[in-house]
Amino acid sequence: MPAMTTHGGVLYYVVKVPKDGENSTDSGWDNPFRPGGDLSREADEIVELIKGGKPITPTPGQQPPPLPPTLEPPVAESPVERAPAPAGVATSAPSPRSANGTAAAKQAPVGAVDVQRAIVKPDGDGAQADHPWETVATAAWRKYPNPHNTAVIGTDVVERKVVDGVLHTHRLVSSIWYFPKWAQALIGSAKICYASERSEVNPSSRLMVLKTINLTFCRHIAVDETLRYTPDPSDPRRTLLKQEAVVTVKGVPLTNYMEDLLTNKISNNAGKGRQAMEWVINRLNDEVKDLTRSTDEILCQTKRSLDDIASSAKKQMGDISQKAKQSFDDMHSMRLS
Amino acid sequence: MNSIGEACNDLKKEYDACFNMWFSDHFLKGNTDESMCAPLFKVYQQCVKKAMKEQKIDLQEVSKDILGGKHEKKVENS
Repeated sequence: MPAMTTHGGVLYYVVKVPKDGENSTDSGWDNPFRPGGDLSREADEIVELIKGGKPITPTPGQQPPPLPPTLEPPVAESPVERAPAPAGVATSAPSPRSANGTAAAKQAPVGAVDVQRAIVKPDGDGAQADHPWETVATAAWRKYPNPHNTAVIGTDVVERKVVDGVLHTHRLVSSIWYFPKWAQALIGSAKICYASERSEVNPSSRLMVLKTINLTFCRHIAVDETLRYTPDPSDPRRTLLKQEAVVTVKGVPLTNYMEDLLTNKISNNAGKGRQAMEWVINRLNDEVKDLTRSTDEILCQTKRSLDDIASSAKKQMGDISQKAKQSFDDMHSMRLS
Repeated sequence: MNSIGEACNDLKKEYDACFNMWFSDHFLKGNTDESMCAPLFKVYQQCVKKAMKEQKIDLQEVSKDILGGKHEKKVENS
């Protein structure tokens, strides 16, 4: 909003319009971003780009890893990958459609600093794989490398032991994420994110549970996910996957906006039962077929949401830029008259 | 799949290969004796922990902050 000043009874606007090549950080017009902060500077940068007719996001070299449209045979010969999804086996299982579920959106109190976003929880039978539990469990260790998630660049076993016949494993999963430059102002420039994955495999009860939580993303967006692989009670040759994910956003400027985005994207849409699940599956299918659905998809979705934020911001900034220009023009015409 | 520590990659591959065999051929068949890959695991672990330290990745802190400490007892000190 331009500042208003009076001079000798003449009312006019004082507005600084950033000019190309000119530092515009002190622009005085209304800004959805907080003045003085990183966001503000980013916003100025965006305006500059817009005014220069350049694309603002994503910046070159920051393109997200492509999601292969079709599923290739898993390359995974390297073992002990980050667990959740069987690349080798589950990938070829043709039964993702049997997944059914709803996502419950949990509206936690909206705080400025700590907002629990959404719980995505497929219900009912969950996803299925046409493979016995043993096969799926074995494959789960080999999920990466996976052409469908090139983001995961490393997995390390931090701790592993058998206790009472149950295999306990703690793994550190490293992924590399690419954000539009704009979104980096929100998330930080951290490109490598780490997740902690704890799992238990009980061969006698045929249960494999994996809990993953991302560590860095890091202080701002937390994804907490649980995957359970169990044999299909009605058909031992099949395996069921149950999944629950909690996405938390905190300490992020524009938190409310992100909240809306995440809630809409993950919860509301997914909360419409079967139809919504269909939507989710369609969306995720290319990348994850089947049991390969895991934290990655949530992260990916979060990333997409951020892209949305970026484009929305672009729009807003465009408006602002427009308004500023308008004011500038007004000022000119006032002066002239 | 690589390790976070480049120096650990070979150790990791060896261990992973061993683990995968052990998991499907032994563990899932009821043999829970871990000794088969233990030597490989040990050297790999040492390498990883060193790498984590170098890269300042602290899983303990993470568990405390995010998981609310529910896994604390399982966290191994780096």
